[in-house]
Amino acid sequence: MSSLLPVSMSRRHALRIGALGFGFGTLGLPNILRAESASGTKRHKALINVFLGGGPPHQDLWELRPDAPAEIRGEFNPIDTKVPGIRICEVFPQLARIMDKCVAVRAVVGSVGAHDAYQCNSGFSSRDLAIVGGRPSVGSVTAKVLGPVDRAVPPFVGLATPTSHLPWSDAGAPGFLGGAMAAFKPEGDGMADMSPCVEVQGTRLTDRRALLTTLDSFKREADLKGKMSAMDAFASSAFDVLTSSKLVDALDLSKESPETRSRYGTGKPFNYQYDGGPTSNEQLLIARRLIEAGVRCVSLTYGRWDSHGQNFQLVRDHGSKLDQCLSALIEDLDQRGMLDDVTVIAWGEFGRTPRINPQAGRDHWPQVSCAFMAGGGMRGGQAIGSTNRLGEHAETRPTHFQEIIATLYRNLGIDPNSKPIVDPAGRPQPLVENYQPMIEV
Amino acid sequence: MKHFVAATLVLGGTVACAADPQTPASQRYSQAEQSETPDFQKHVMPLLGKLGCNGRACHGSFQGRGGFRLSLFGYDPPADHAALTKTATASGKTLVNLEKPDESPFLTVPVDADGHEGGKRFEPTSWERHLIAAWIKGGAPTTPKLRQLKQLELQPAEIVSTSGSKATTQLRVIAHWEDGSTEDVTCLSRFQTNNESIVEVDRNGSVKIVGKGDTHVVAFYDNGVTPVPVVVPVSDKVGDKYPQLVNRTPIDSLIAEKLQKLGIVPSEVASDAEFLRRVSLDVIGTLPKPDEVEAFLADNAADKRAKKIDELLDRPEYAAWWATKFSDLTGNNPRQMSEQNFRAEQSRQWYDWLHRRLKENAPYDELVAGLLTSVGREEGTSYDDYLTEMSAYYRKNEPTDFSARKSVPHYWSRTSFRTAEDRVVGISYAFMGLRIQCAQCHKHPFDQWTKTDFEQFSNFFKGVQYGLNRDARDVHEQMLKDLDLKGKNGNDQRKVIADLAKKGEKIPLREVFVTQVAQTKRPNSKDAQPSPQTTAKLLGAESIDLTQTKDPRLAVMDWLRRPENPYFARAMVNRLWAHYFGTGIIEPADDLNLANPPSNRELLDHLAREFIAHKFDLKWLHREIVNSDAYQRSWKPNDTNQLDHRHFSRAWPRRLAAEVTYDAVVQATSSPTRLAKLVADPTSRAIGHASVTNGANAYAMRVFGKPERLQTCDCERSNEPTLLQSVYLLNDQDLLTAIESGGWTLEAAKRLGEGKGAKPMSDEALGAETESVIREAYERTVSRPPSAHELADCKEHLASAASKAEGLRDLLWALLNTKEFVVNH
Repeated sequence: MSSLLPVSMSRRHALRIGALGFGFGTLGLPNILRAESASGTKRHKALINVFLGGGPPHQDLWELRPDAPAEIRGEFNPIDTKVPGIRICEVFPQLARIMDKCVAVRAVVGSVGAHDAYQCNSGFSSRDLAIVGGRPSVGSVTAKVLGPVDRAVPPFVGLATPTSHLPWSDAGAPGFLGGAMAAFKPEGDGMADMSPCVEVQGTRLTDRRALLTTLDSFKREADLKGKMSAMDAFASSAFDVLTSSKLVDALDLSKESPETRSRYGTGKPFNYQYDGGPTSNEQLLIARRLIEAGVRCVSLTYGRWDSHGQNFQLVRDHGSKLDQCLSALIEDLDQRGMLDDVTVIAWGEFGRTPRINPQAGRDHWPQVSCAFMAGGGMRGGQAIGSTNRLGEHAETRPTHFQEIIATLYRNLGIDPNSKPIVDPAGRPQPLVENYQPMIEV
Repeated sequence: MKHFVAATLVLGGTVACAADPQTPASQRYSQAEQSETPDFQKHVMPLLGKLGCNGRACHGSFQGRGGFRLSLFGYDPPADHAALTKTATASGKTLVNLEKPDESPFLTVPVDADGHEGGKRFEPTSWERHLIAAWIKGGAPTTPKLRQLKQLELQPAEIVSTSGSKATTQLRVIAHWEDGSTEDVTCLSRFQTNNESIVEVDRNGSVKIVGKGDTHVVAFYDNGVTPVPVVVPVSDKVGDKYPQLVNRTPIDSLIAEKLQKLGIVPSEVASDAEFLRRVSLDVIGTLPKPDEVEAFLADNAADKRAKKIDELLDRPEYAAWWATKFSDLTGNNPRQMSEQNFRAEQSRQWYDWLHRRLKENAPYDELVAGLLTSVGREEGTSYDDYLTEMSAYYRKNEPTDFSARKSVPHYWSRTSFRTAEDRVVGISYAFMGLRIQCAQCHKHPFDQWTKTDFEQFSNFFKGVQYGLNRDARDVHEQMLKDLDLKGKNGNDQRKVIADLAKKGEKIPLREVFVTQVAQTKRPNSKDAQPSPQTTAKLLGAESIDLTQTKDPRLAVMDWLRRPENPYFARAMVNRLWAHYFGTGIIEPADDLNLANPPSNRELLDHLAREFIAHKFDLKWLHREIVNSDAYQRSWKPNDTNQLDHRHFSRAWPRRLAAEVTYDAVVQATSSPTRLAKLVADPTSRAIGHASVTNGANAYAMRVFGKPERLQTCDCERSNEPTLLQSVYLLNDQDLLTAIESGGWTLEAAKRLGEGKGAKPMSDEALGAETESVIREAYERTVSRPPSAHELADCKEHLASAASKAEGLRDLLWALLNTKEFVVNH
């Protein structure tokens, strides 16, 4: 790599070519055409990032501490899984049954302790590079680097609906890549725009399109940089979006079989939600449908795990629902032959205190946390790392947030160490800093 | 900027009399065993840069390579010297072996194509090796004190190719040092072309013309960066063949001079209708109304364009739109406001403050001073008085007008503006057009700035605090007690305070203040020199003793205001230019680095000089630019200027800004009554909306690229077309509703004899009215009457529609979806 490339200029150029549209339809004409020709020809790599907002208790999920004293151990017992030697919490019998396809990361370290999804989305603190817009999330980087699979479907979709503690429903910020690479959120105006309004349904749309063609006389040659041509191309794609309804269909669960829907469940009633996300099992099914339609990254927020009180009741509620939908998703992807291409991860911003507080809760514990992963071509049936007897800190194989993020990039087909992206100051920024994808998987 | 100094020096003859420069190192070290010991700063470090050793992918990486780390892009001689002579690398040896110089890994590794991961960097018998060997044999001395490079001169100073042939030119680079010595450093310099489709440059500085147009080749040596313009005419219309142009304004003359060299003939001046639409959208962010279009087209006065420009600059939309633009520039983001209780209010206050100054046309430097040197309270004001004043801005009933305040402390109290580094980045970006962040960690790769420059400049801003000044603490403490807020958690405190504020009670608040740097000199110390922490250095200018100034920011403001300041006026001129032309004279408009020179230096210098001479009068600057023929040219290209983006020989269509697009849709679909209301209060429109993401139009704002004011980059505002925008224009419910019930389509249908209260009309009357309605639809959207052909097409559609109202909705929908509507052309 030459150190003397006029980075500042080439970056701007790149930014402008890519700019705006939530990573969707953000590319210049050649890329739109490329996306079109590529669509449907090849299965694509994808990611479903399930954020367990609030910070789930690491010692009550994938690595129980039965030898710890009662005030630390808690109520749960470990159960055997399909993989000999790996035991997880009794709340997750279905995941235990398919543990051979899964990876439990038991000692995640490097949490900055912030009550937000930023680190699980990007690997960095929200303060990092804040003056130029902050670090971009995996979804935004993917949208930027790989673009859309299908020109009528955005590459990056965030399913989280706003929570009253807003940082928990962050879909993954575009950071310094700018709004162009933000997640498409299928709600409100953006979603409504995707299906034809009454006024322009059916032949009405065709008639209007004919009239528009007659009147749209402004010359393309006015701009040789291709902006006018791009406008024409986008307008034409926009008609495709309105007539193909691929995205709208993907979000429509009524098109799914009742068996599949009941396998995932609904997660209702939503308990302990307060200012966090719902335990919406259906979002995991929607995520699978979106990926089938061509989305590369789906992020969502599942539950509110900030268990300062009633930790065990909360884990029983959230955990058993998560057990149902996460196992359903992994099995569903497997049955459809998608599991090798799609990485699923469920994790939170930090772990929780070993000692149970007087409200039967556990408080924040950034020293160590956990993650549960599957698919993406990873070697399943593993539990990686461990905490000490009291679950206070990593004892073996501490796994940094950025190692996991690097693994997600690798699974998506993006080499996290060789593709620096350029920030608004013209500086190449690495996707992760000094971390490699986990060698175990 | 260094090249200004260079030009002055050369013209003034102070350098010209110097003796011939020292011959290049490549000649002096062409043979082994030279007695002259090379200089570490002048020779060894540049050579490391030239060989690529200190690049990011090699030893300049922050982790180094093979246990050997150099400062990225050089310019940290002590660290680099230590890395070469003191630190053991991965092999366990230091790179320099003074005992056995020839065994130094510094000489043996770079010639080893297999053993060196970076490959072979030079030949065993090359001058590069001889130079390094001579340095090691001479004891590998360091540079005790950094020498200042006074000028980096390039010969020739300009390359103009008239023949159009693929000629090559050898550049010569001369370093002028502070002590008056000069040296030919061509062999030690690095080179870069700013456009390889026009000109190529090899590592030896040999320039080859490969295309047509105009760009620069840049040379780098030490911290010097010098560009050389390269001009290759694009047509045969040069010299006598170039047409005689009438240059109406100084801007046009300066542009013509450049165009003449390039053989580019400018496009014709645009039609009145095109001019009116363009100037209205650009100056006030607003489409002209149909009656305005009619009146302007009917006006026969010779000076009607100049008059229109004056009128627009006095319209309320001017201040509304430009307060939004200045909010973007200065980072007025409600999410980053300091007081959680009053984020929206603080952002609104900031906007209103800008609005008032733009409306009154306050000088630009005063506007900047109100942000850059803002304080919570003026000297002599008590904390208690401060609270009384500030609380009154937050009360619900008739709050005091914040805009009358002298300054906006919110600029400094922002959560994104707390560290000295963030402040340097934000201030350099907004008021100097500099992207200096690179120098925070290493030598700037495209500019003169070093890490030391960055640190020294940041010292100006370290004393600015947001909190409680010493004399405020007791009062604050007492207030918390009186209000029974002691011991309550933050959320509860905030709630009480918000309620009190609404009622108009005095509330406790933090304040922006500056702590003066204390003298560090011990009484018995003989050393009267202030330590580095007590001084700050302006970028490329003098140092200031911080112990002698109460508010160091005033020194920065004074420096910005100086006529010779190379950034302040130029950055604003260039930004406004970029606003009107879609391309800056320096492009990107916020990147005034030495390696990114202006496409027309004389033009930028002229406007900057005049802007200063006119006491930073913003409206003067707008008027001067917009009154030029250059601004008023048609987008229609001729044979010579199809590709011209950098020399302003034609207009380039630009997509409307997010706010402008949204307002244009509202305006085009509104009934005349509703339209009158919008015009009366521009702050009710998107162009005058202080908020970044809230409001009914938040989705449209996101889709069309309104900046969130999170980034320090003009590129945050995007005017790229996207798919979602097309979907929005085709199918957004708000847009379709506006077409259906905004008022105009129903009213127009009535005019055509349809709907309640419509009068029956003769065929003849209907025909005339139909034409009039179509004409208005065109003027509402694309600001011009339809052509005869278009008129016929539209009539045909209306005749075939199920109803007049439906036909009109189709028509308005189609016009809003044309490219002509959504671009400014």
